[in-house]
Amino acid sequence: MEFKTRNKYLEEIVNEYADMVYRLALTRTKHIQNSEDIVQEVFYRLAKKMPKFESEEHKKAWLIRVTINCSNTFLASKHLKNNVELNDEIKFETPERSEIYFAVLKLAKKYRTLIHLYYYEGYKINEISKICNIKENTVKSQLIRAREKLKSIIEGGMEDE
Amino acid sequence: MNKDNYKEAINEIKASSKVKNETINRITTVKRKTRQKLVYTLSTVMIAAVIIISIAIPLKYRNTTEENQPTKIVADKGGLPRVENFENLCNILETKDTGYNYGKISEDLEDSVSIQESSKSSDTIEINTTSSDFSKTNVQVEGVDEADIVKTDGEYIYYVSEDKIVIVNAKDVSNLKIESELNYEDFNVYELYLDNNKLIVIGTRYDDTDYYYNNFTVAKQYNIQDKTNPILEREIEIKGYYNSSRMINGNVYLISNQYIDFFFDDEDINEDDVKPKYKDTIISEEQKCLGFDEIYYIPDSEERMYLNIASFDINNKEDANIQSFLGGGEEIYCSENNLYIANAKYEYKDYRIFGYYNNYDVNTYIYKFKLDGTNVEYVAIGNVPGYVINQFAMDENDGYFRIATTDYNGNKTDNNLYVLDENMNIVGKIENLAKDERIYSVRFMQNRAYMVTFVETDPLFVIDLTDPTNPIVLGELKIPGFSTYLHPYDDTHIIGFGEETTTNKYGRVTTNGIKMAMFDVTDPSNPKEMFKTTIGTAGTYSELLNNHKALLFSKEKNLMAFPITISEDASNYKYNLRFQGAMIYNIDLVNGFILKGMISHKETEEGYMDYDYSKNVERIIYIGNNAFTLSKGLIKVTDIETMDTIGSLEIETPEYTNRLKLVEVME
Repeated sequence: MEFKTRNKYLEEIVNEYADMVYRLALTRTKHIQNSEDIVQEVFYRLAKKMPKFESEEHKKAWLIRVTINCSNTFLASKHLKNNVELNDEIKFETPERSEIYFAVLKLAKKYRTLIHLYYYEGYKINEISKICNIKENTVKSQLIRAREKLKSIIEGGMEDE
Repeated sequence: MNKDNYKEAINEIKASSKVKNETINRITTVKRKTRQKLVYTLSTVMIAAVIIISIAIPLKYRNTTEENQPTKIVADKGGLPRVENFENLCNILETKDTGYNYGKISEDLEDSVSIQESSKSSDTIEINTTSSDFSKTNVQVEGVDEADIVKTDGEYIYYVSEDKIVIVNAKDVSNLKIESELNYEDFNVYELYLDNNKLIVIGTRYDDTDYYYNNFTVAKQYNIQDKTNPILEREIEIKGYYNSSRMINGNVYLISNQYIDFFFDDEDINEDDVKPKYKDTIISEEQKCLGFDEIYYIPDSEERMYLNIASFDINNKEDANIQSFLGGGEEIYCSENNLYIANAKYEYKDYRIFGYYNNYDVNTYIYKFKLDGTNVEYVAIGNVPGYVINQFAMDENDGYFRIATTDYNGNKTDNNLYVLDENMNIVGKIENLAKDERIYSVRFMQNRAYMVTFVETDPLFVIDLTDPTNPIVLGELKIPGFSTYLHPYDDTHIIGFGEETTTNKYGRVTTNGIKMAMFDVTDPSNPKEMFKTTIGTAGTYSELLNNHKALLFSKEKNLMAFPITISEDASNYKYNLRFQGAMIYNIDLVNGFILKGMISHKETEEGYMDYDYSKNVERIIYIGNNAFTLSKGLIKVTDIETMDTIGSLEIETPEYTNRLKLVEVME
């Protein structure tokens, strides 16, 4: 059996999951610097706590949950740095990608998070319900509302142009 | 909206390698905090004691021995220490090494035949003992009520439809009418209790616009003397998400889990943010905090979570009793006298090796509380190997607590049953039952336990518990399929609900429709399957598979009913829906299961149907000889004898309800 040192184990997790944590943090905080701080905090907690994971999925769910918690704590505290418009800082390869990404960011935080977990991370409704501890029906109805709002943002945006 | 563009956009976003490297550098140098000063002040005698303890305690605790113990332990009269202050809270939490518990998430994803989607709200069961002629919620323990989405008093029906409650006058079935509705904003209704003229509505309230962080478990008590005008009498809330509740003789016990979330490094933390919060409108309209000196902690069981318990008497105006314990709770079992809260923890066998999934032990910690009116008093903590599947894996009889668990051992599983005494010490056990299988359902009936484990066939074990110190396996029956819920028919017969299974040509076990079976355990050494019925093929689903409250059963009325969606000829991962509604059976020991009728809230269609969320029957109840089927958008009355539809009532549902199916099929 391969003997993995603690540091090797942590390094592997960071390399594998830093992007995932960063992407979700960015969706929630809309701020690059804050999201980078959250990446550090999430893995710092992991290192301190060294939780026992039952499986890869368990590990992933743990990291997502802690990312959500950390970004909440961040948003609630004065750690939060002044909000800069992300549009100037992130460029996408195609206008379609840019349009949809920034449209999602215009949604309320709870909607953005659900859209991210559902469409990007590919979680099912019952899984989101467990990770976030909210009722399945709430997830469903919020997703519907999120999609509707998203639609109106995208359509409204095009009229402006 | 194009989902692919969204995914591609996010894929372009990456954490910079600078951030990754900084993170790695930071965390690989993290030493779990030790407060050196404290260690130095320990006397030599104390150091000797620490060494002895570190040898005597199991290996799994060794990795914490370097860390400081909580600075101050103040024993309560019951022997339970309190947190006392914020610094102490930090100390306790930093020595903890269990994370949030996500065990169930992975279980669902991994297991292709899994039907265990135990939801937080699905909690208990019981046998109907109807004195009057109407049905009650199917609960685990007689006399201990469990909340559900529908309740009736034989004249009115109280039903949760989306985020509102309808009070329906059911006296004249040909003229059902809504007497009143309770509508809410920013409040998610979960379930109800009904007791004479009191209606207790349980749900969750979200603070701010974000529900991950600030959620509160709420009980709203209404006086419903006048059905057209329910009056809100009292509101009680505790911070945290809703775990479960029970009601015994008008005393409600409300249980929540509250995450404790703050940065350890944060210098300017507001201590109130990490305290348990509560509100009781009898005391004040203001939200209050419990002080750290009022929070108990149970050594060995702390987690980054509070278990909050509110208890109150619906028939008087005494202050609610609010208590908080550092530590999480998952499954709840409640007898008339004691409340047991079980929490599974995953602990490394060898703390030097990380990242191996088989390098941990699963242990379930059970806190026992004595119930005396609204007084909830901690008694003891017990600890058994393995995890429990649901509340039915626990039971109390004659002062003994019994619990059935599945334990991991390397990559293998085995199954155990333990008997614990009043002080939660193990006095009897059977271990290593059904190796490589896991428990799918358990039912305790007085001095016997019935346990179903599963890999390819469904062994039903009959276990004798007459001598608590010496449980004995009396008999075993192996049949295809598995049961996820066992319901007593009488003292010597049990009904099992579950799924039928077949082994395909590749040797994989696949599910193949819903299975019901009647087991005869008159001769416990030779259990028999008397009758068996299967419904539909793969994809057929009933809420009863993971929520006992979905069952309507009355032996006296020779009646059994449950909600169902039937699929047929499933192929290419598409389930062809044949029927959506409820099935009504007659059941007896001579003829077995006789299908009495099927009730749907949808128009009959040729061929396959579309799933309709607002017309999905959730519960079946009866009043007299009438069966009421309830879906979000409709209540329908059927004569149980003739199966004729004799009444119906539409319930207005929000527009999005009808479109929920769109989300589910959006790929």
